[in-house]
Amino acid sequence: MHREFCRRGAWLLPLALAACDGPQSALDPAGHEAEAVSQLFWWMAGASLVLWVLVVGLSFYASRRREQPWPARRAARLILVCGALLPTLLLAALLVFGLRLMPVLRAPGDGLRVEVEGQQFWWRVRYVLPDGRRFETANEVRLPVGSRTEFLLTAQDVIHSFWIPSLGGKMDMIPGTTNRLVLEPTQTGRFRGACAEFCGASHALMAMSVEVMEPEAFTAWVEREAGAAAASTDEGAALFLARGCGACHTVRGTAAAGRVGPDLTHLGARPTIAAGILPNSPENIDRFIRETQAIKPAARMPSFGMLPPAESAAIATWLGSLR
Amino acid sequence: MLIRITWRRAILTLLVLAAGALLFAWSGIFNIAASGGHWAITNWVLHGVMRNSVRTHSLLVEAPPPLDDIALKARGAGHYASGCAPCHGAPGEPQNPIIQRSTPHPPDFSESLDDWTPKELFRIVQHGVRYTGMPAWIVPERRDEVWAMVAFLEALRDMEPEEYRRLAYGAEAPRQPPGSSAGIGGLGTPPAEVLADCARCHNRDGQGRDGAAFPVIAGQNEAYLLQALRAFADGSRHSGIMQPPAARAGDEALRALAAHYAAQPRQPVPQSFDPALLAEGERIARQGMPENQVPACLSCHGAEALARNPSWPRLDGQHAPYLEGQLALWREGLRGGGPYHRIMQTVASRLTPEQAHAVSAWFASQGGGE
Repeated sequence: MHREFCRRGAWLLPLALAACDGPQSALDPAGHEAEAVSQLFWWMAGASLVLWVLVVGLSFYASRRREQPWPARRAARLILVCGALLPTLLLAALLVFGLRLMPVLRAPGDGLRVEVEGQQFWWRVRYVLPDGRRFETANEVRLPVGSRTEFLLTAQDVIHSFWIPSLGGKMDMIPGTTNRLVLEPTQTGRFRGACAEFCGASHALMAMSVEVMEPEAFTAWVEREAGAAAASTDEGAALFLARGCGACHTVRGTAAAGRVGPDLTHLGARPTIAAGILPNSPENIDRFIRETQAIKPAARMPSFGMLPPAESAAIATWLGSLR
Repeated sequence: MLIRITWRRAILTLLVLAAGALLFAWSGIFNIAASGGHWAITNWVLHGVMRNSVRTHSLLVEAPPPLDDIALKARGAGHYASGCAPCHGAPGEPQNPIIQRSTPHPPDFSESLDDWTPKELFRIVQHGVRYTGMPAWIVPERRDEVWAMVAFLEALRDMEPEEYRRLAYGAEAPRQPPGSSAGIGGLGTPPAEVLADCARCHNRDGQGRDGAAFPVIAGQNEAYLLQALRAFADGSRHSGIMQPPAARAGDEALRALAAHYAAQPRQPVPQSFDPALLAEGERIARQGMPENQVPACLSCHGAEALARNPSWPRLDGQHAPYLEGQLALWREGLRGGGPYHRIMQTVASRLTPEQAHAVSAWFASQGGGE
């Protein structure tokens, strides 16, 4: 029995470590802030392990030792040293170590500012470029590698929390107040962010795609993203307006200028749709249009399953073509 | 000689009595014929139980709205003529002799109406009366409709036949033969001309009558009208008043009706509003309230949007109380409709009553012309 348990346990061990890398892991840092956090974590984990071995070892030793009386002074000294002095020293060291990390995290950004507003259950993202230009997108954050980007975080309805584990954070998003977070990615790549504060029925379905790019590629992306959509005026575009989608969604370059839901100007260029939960494909866009409430319960958008299938497919194809 | 009562004997007696009752029911000797009527004592007991039940249950009924509102009375009267008069008669239209031979036979309102309070009438109209043939309201949740009927019934007590004919038939009164609503046909058979049925309340020009009693349907989008009529007919838009006429008309007639009313010129409804209210309404209509997840109304109900999509209704020049009433129904989840109604359900549920009031006023004050 005991042996069996150990064999299974050993087999499960890699599973516990499997979540340590990948696009959404604080233990596989790709940014300064995440590195600091991960460093702190490993120091604490290491120190805890040492303490654990010491304490367990001592109690084991105590249980095996033959009982005999101890002089009162020796016992008092043991309690003073191990019960008060040692923890104070250790915790003070940890505090100093932690505080030392903070000024770096609070240092100002390099000029790029991103305003993110959490809503049930998606992210409104506004880029404010160093030259003052602004543009809006949703559920996607792209950052230049090696420079510090300042995030201004707030929420529209309830408390959300902004967390890109691989880069840093997390930071709560609170209605009526703005929190500041500065992230400095150190590696390019695709990552995943998530809402880290329970915010409603689809909290677990509120994610975002994150991409850290080389500065040149980032500049090219910004230029494209700041512009209007390459507005093809096909059937899908006409249906998008005729069926009222433009009442809530903006597609720059068309008559759709709604300010209620996510900006869809360059939807086709995003890796995911529906706030990071479905891979971006015309089929998935179509499914989300028709079965919104099934895919994302309690989302603010009603399901548009009443549209004739050909119409929603045409709208989905058009949206997928917006790059 | 005394018979000693033991448990065994008591139970045995009960069993024999039960078997006897079953045998009696099975034999069919009992006479259920309506022709004989109830015995006086049966009538007294049944009627007493009914009155007591209505009185007790009416304690929970909400306070009535102002019942002397002509719009409420007219709305109730239009439905009364086709839904109630066939059994209950009406001023100047005595009860049908066939109905008089039913047991119990429905009270004849061409003669008199018992002294029920408005709340008691509400209870009876909303839920009907079991074992009497009095049906419940088709959609009991539409309390506004039930109150309209109560308002009419309150006025019915001393109503002259001419006034009744005007309220029930509107401009169609001269075309309707006297006593026509008391015909049992009113419940099922479509009238010779369906339009005449609609025009009793909505007029042939779709402008309605008696203040805000009926919505303006003149010049409404044809596709929208047809969707609305079909939704009324199959019950997916909840209305005890509109479902019967829409259901008995048949789909072909509904198509013709939608085309007819869509083709009528829309006349502005004269209404006056506080400018501050209109300004608030206009802000909501033009910009929406993105902070409350409310899109601009005009992005679907504006002229440009309506040109793109004939399935959305136009709201300009409509009666403000009607629009406000519909928004209240949306909020309560009592406003179904055609295939697209969930969109409006979502938006309308985010408006407060004050916002609904303002935006209804603004749409009512708009255009109304072609």
